[in-house]
Formats: sequence, C-alpha cells, structure tokens
Amino acid sequence: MSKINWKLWITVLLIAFSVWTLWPSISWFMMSKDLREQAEQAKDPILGKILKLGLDLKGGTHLLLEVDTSKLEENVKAKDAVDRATEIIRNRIDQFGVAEPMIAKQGDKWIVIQLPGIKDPKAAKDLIGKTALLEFRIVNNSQEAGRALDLLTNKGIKPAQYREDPSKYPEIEISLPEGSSIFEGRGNEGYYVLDKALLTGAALTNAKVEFGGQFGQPIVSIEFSKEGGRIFADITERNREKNLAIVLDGIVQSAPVIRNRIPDGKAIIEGSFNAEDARLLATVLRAGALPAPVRVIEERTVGPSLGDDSIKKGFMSSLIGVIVVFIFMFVYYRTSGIIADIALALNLIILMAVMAYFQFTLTLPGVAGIALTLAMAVDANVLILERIREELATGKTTRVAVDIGYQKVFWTIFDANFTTLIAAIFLFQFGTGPIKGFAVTLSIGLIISMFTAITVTKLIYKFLFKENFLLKIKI
Amino acid sequence: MQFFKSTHIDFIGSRYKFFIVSISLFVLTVGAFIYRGGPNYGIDFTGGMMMQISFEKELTDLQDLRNAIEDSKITSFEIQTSENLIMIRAKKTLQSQEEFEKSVSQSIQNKFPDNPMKVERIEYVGPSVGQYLSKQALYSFFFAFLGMIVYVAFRFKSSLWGVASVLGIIHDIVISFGFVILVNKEINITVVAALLTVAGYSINDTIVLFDRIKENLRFGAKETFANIINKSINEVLVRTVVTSLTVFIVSTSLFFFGGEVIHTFAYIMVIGTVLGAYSTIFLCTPLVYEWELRRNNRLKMAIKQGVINSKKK
Repeated sequence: MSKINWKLWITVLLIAFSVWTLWPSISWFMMSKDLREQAEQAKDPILGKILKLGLDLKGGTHLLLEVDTSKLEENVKAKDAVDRATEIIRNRIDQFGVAEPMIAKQGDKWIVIQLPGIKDPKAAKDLIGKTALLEFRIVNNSQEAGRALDLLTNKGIKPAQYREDPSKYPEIEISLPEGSSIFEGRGNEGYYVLDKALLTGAALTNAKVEFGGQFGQPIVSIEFSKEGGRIFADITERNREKNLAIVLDGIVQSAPVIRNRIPDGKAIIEGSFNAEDARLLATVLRAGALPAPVRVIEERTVGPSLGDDSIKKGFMSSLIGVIVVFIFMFVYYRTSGIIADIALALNLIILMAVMAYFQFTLTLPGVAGIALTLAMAVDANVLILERIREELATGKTTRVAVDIGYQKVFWTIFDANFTTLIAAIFLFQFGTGPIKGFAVTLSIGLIISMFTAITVTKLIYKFLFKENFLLKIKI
Repeated sequence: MQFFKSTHIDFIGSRYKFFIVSISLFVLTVGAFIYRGGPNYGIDFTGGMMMQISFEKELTDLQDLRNAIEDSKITSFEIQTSENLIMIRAKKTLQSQEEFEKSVSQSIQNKFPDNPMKVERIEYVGPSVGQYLSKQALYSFFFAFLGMIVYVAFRFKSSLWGVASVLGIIHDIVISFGFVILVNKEINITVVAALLTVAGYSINDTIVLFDRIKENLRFGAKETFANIINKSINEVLVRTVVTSLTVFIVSTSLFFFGGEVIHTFAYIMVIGTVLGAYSTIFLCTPLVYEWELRRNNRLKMAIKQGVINSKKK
C-alpha cells in the first residue's frame, strides 16, 4: 500500500507543479495584445516564467555572424577578439532595446544572435554590423604626400583599395611619409593623406546626438576618458594650425583646423547624418568599436503575422489529431481507453510545464516532437492494453491480467523509449536551431511519457480495483 | 472493440515476396532520383537566400513579378506561391545578402507602386553555414544510428539484432527520402527532422517485436525459430496496427491543417509510419531469421565435421 502512496504523492506533486508553472503562461496567452506589449515594455517579471516560443512561432530575427579575424592586428588573439566582439554587440543590442535578446559565441569565430519580436530587422543589422572604428589623425600636407596623392589619382586607385594591400602599389608606398596612409573624404570631397592614428574611439566615455551644427543638423558630440582627454589636449597643443581628421570606418568625416589646445576632452563629429544615422552612430560609439569586421552569414527572419499563423495552424492541427486519437482510444478500449487518455493529457501538461520551468524554447519542429512523443505514449498504452487482452483471453481474472500485463510490457516500453532517447540526445548534441527544439521536446516527452503511461495509468487501475468500482473492466 | 481476432499468418514463409516489395521501393527511389536529377536541396544546405512576401492586394500575374525581379539584375531565382504568400528563392552563393534583399524589394516596389508589399520571412544561409549544417546533420544521423545499434545489441545480446534494426531504419529513411524526391519537395532542416522522427518511430516498432520474439524464445524452446517469429509477429500485429493508426491520424491532421511549414514534415511522417511498421515485420525480422539460420547451419556443419563436440550443444 505504501508503494502506491508514494507514487500517488509524486503524481499529485507533479500535477500541482505543472499547474503552478503553467499559470503565468495561461494568463499571458489570455492577455490582450496591448496588455502584452505593455508588459514587455515594462519588463514584467512574468516574461521569465511563460513558455518561451521560438522565433519561428513568435516572429523575430536569428543572425549568425562571422568575425573576420584575418584583419586583426598582429598582437590580438582571435579568441579575445571574438569574445570582445560578442560583448560589444551585446552592449549595442541592449541599447537598441530588444526584449530578451540572446547573444552567444558559437564555435571559434561565430556569434549567434536571436532577437525575438523585433519590428525592424534592417536597423538591427546595421547597428550590429557597424565596425565603428573612430580614429583621430593629423592631415599630412607635405610634398611627398602630395606626390603620393597625385600618383593614386592618376592611376585611378581608390584609397580603400590601396589600404587593403599597400605592397601592391610600391611606388605610392615609397612616396608616402612613414606611418601615413590615404583616406577618402565623405561625399567625394577628395582624398587625404593622414598620419598614423593618435587616438581611437576606445578612449571615449560618452557619445550623444546634438543638434548644434551650422544649420542645426544633427552632430555627435563625444567625451573622452580622463586619459583620452589628456592625450587629446596634448595632440591639439602640438598640432596647432594643422587639420585634425576625424575618421570613421576609413572615411574622413571632417578635418577641422586646430585653433587652440582643447583641454576639456570634448569634441564633435560633423557629418552628413540624418537624426537616425546620428543616433545609431552615437549608440555604436558608446558601446565601443568592433575589434574586427563582422559579416552576417546566416539570417532567418520571421514576420510576426507569419509566426501567429504558424502557431494557429500548428496548434489547431495538433489539437485535431490529438482529439481524434482520444476518441479512437475511447471507442476501441472503452474504460481503459479513458484511463490512457487521462495519462496522455497529463503527459502533455507536464511536458509544457517542464518546458516553461526550464525556459526551453518551443519551436515548430518542437511541436512535431510533441506529436511523436504522444504517439509513443499512446503506443505504450496500446502495448499494455493489448497484453492485458491477451492475458484475459487465457482466462485470468482482470486483476491478475492487469498486473501481468504491466509486468511483461515494462521492459519493452523502456527499451523502445530509451533507444529513441539515444537518438534524441545525439540530435540535441549535433542538431542546430530548429532540430534542437525537436530534440528537446522529444527527450523530455519520452521521459515523462514513461511515467504517465505506466505509473499513472497503473495507479488509476489500483485505485479502481481497491474501491471495487470495477471487478470486470472493459478492455 | 477489436479490429481482428488472433491471426495465424505465415510471415516468414513469404519473406521473399516482401523482399521484392522492398527492392521495388528502392528501385522507385533510385528512379525518382534519376528522374528528378538528384535531390532538390534547399538553401539550408546549398546556401542562398529565400524571401517570402505578401502583397496587400493579390497579384494576378506572376510574370510581372518575375520581370520585376529580373530588372534587379538577379538572374537565377525561383518563384513559388502558397495561398497569399509568394516565395522568392535564389540558391546561388550570393555576394551580399543585404544587396539582394534591397534590390529585390526595391524593384518589386517600383513595379507595383500602388500595391505595398510586406516581407514575411527572410532566410539567408551563407555557404560556410550550409556546409556546417550538412555536416551536423550527417553527424547526428551517424551517432544516433551508432548509439541505437550499441543499445539494441546490448539488450538483445547480439550485435546482429542491432544491425538488423538499424538496417530497417535505413530502409525506411532512404525510401521516405525517395518519396520526398518524387514529389520534388525541397530538402531542408525540417526534412532532416522528419526523417529522424521516422527513424525514432521505426526503431520503436522494431524493438517491440524483437522483445516479443526474445520472450517467446525463452518459453518455446521446442518450436522452430520460424514458428516462434511467426507467432510473435501475429501476437503484436494488433498493436502494430493500432499504433500505426494513431500516428497516422496525427500525421494526417498535421498534413491537412498544419500549414505550409509542417506540411512536408507530415508528408514524410505519413509515409514513414507505414514504412516503419512494414520494415519491422518484413525486413528486420526476416533478416534476423536468415542470419540465425545460416549461423545454425554452419554450426550443424561444424558439428558434423566434428570440429565442435556435439554433446556440448
């Protein structure tokens, strides 16, 4: 009797746990769209408790970025660069304001980013991909520099082309002063020869948009760190009456003449930005420059309406299938069919609860995984019931037949589930994105189904026998 | 209710007929392969770009759209429609995904200025990612198979049974794959997931029967191996039918009501369900039978030749 008791307690506890865990999800899906948006804005703690839907169901963008480690400076390790790029991208996305983004390193030089429910994937991509390498360089007006510029222009070479591989153009390289290189001005303003970078965006503490330009156009004002401010003061001191070029991603934004020493560590970047560009630039500058360029190598974006559609159809079709199976089980096995149905329903509820509790993501293939789990759970019950029928046919009493049925079939069910579980675990290990979602629901579902299809149904039989509700059940 | 009372079908006796069925299905698969010129791999594996768009007002002529995209200097692409969604797919390795997206949407919008378009879905897979995904899919198949062989071999104390069950899975997967090629559906990650589901279902089915054979072997030492197998198949036959039927019900429902993404998955499941049950009865078990028979014959020969002491047997 005590054996029944602890099984009963586990079952009751599991049900209680499931209801408690699923409650936030249920109330969430009952909420109106506006209320949900409000909650998302306010970062309501309920968000951490509801069933997490994958991007294919919820809508959103999945990006895989590759860090181009070939362009790193020599003393920087590739691993550090990728780590730093991941951190910087995380900062940028945080400033962009996405509810529950996921940013993680994958492999050696890949970064995976998931932005659920994002409205404007284009802007997000721009933000993430911007290298935002800000440099301050002095314009070199020497004769050699002029000669190099002439050579470059005559040959029709673009500055970016030259900088890509200077050794290809030895005659230009020779005539350039030590440490300098050639840059292009924004909007075809001509080319500049600039000395080596004296200060970079790494020395910034703040950047913000202001509307203080000559014609009230947006500008980005920056503030250097203490150390950066000291260097900046030093540069402006030593290079009076020279032009200081502000270079962003290899393009000279402006090159004002230094009139005086600037002691307070403040500067402005003028450019032909609109307000949105300026905001993006300020954000990126605040978050820091990427140590190396990144490239989008995979993108999967699902619009919100398509996601809704997938949920509706996926849910409806599964529901129809499950209901038909429920009815079939009842018609075919009667009382025992109902018992099996109860176990199935429990299986589904506990599975969802576990998903919500551990914050696993439910994807569309995940829904398929649930369907397979349910099929295998039905199979477990079919196996048991068919075995009981066989035992009954040899003239055993119901009670004995049920006992023997369960005993004989247990290892079959265990073997069948366990082998599938092996497959599911390898899928989880090697699968990517959607397949992982499938493996997750399948593995959890299989483990739970072993419990519900065997333990719970047997518990119900024991209870029915004990109360003498049925001496002869219809199987 | 009961579909049928106990049956006494001689499955082992007619095993060669069913080998022929399997062989014909293989021929069909190879035929489909040749007819379609190989599998239609999706961008998940080839790399490329897919855009799914919808228009506010329904398009009457797809040719206009085709022209619009050609205007954007993209030459190799496919257009597919399902309900109100239009899918544009370019499999070639693209220089820049952003350029593709921009130029396609711009030229479409230029062509249909009074019919705003909405981008519903974008999938872009770079070539290195395509290779990565293919490699991972192969790994997962390989290790899943290996794991299942080892477990089944361990449980049934014979690596032969493990190999036979995995041969059954491979049979099911290859033929399901053939059916996918036959209808020219695209092979993407979802198809891989579906094939693995078929594998899961197939091994489940095989183990149920193997377990029953093992059980009957323990109690029926006097009967011939063929009789024991036949008896076991007949005993689990009702269960096989009922279970297959329930899986079939769910898959059919997914097939008809599940929407476009789940459609292919359900298609494979419907076929795989039938194949899974079929391969267990008509392929895995007869294979085990043939193998054990041959081993026994060799054993008998060895006994005859006095290599092995006959008293030991």
